[in-house]
Amino acid sequence: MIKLSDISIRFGEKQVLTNFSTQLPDRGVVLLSGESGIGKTTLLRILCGLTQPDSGTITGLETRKVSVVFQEPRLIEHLTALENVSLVSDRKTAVRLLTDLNLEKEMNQRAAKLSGGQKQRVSLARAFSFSDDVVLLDEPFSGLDDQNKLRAARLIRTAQLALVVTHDATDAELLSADKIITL
Amino acid sequence: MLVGNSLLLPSPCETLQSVRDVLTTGRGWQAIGLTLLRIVSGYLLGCTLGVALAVLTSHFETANWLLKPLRSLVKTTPITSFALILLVSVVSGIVPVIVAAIVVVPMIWQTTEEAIRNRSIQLEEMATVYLTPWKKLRYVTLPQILPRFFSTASVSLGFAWKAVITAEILSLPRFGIGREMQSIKSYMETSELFAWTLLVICMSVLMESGFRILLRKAGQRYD
Ligand SMILES: Nc1ncnc2c1ncn2[C@@H]1O[C@H](COP(=O)(O)OP(=O)(O)OP(=O)(O)O)[C@@H](O)[C@H]1O
Ligand SMILES: [Mg+2]
Repeated sequence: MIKLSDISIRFGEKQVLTNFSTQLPDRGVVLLSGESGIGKTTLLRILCGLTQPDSGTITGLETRKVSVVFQEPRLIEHLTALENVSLVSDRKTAVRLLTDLNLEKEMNQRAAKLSGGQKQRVSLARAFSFSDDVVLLDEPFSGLDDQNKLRAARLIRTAQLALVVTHDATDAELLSADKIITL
Repeated sequence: MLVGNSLLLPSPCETLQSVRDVLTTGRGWQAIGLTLLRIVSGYLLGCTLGVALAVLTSHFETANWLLKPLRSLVKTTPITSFALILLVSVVSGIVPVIVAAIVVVPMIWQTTEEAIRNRSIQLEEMATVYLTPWKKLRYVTLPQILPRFFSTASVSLGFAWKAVITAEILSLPRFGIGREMQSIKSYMETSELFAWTLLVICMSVLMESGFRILLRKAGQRYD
């Protein structure tokens, strides 16, 4: 069980999270929803350690390996899709995941030359090749067509624990979530 | 006109003859060798210091606040002033090395600092999550900084040349191109002066294009 207790954070004058508490199961798919600007990305950043909360504690993540699909793909543009993914794991895993996401043909293209949806899938492949233990995903379906949404959803369900930020009700259905947290 | 009258402007033929004269004497070669040594060491010293200062001032605001005025000062002070000041306390052969470094430092410092500051925070965060510090440096940080660093580095090489020759003219080390040029006092020897100038231009152009080719090879991956 991963426990978040009394998390508060403010940016300047703006209070974003106030004594927020929740629990995440050790396994399963958890959805995180809420209106734009409410603090979903901020919460993911706190979970992966990129942002320190002003107060509050998180327990249960200490022994787990966390990977992140950022709201933007954040690829290394001068490297190929395959290089971007294998940089965080090994070539074999990278090839398998890119193939799963229908990127066999684009594998050896530089990230700079890929389309938005292709980049998004490379970013997904990178996250899962690094770790499928705890995967934090910030709107992972953005820019994907229906076929690729299905592929992505299939991959996301292979994570031990996936915490997925999404606005879309049909995306939520696609993932058959075990729990929904609304901020 | 005045061309061909070796008292004023030597003809190309006379100049080339003087070049040959320079290149057939041991003294000529010693001057070239020592000047090259000074350029390379002053330049490398300047690059190293410039990068170190850039890392310092881009990461610590206090250091930036303290050192930035110094950089402006160094940039606006004429190199002759530095050379003459240094001459009081430093061996004449070393003065050009330090002067070259002083010219190179602010150029490298400023662009490298800007490149460090302008690097993508998003990519750095991605690397913090996924990569070891070494891989982060190698694949994320350096590729963002090196292209700008190298373009300034190749420009400042030319400045290092000018600085060393000028400083040699002032500090008069036992051997050096500047020393040789300074010792040409008589109007009878203008062809020798032209010969040295020609040699300096050729060598500095060669050096800079060699450097550029090297960089293009190194930079190909980042296009
Ligand atoms: N580094 C920061 N500095 C200042 N304000 C910030 C910073 N990061 C986030 N905020 C603010 O915190 C609030 C929450 O931002 P966050 O990105 O977490 O929202 P979100 O729920 O992910 O929104 P969206 O659905 O649009 O992505 C916003 O008002 C934002 O302006
Ligand atoms: Mg967000």
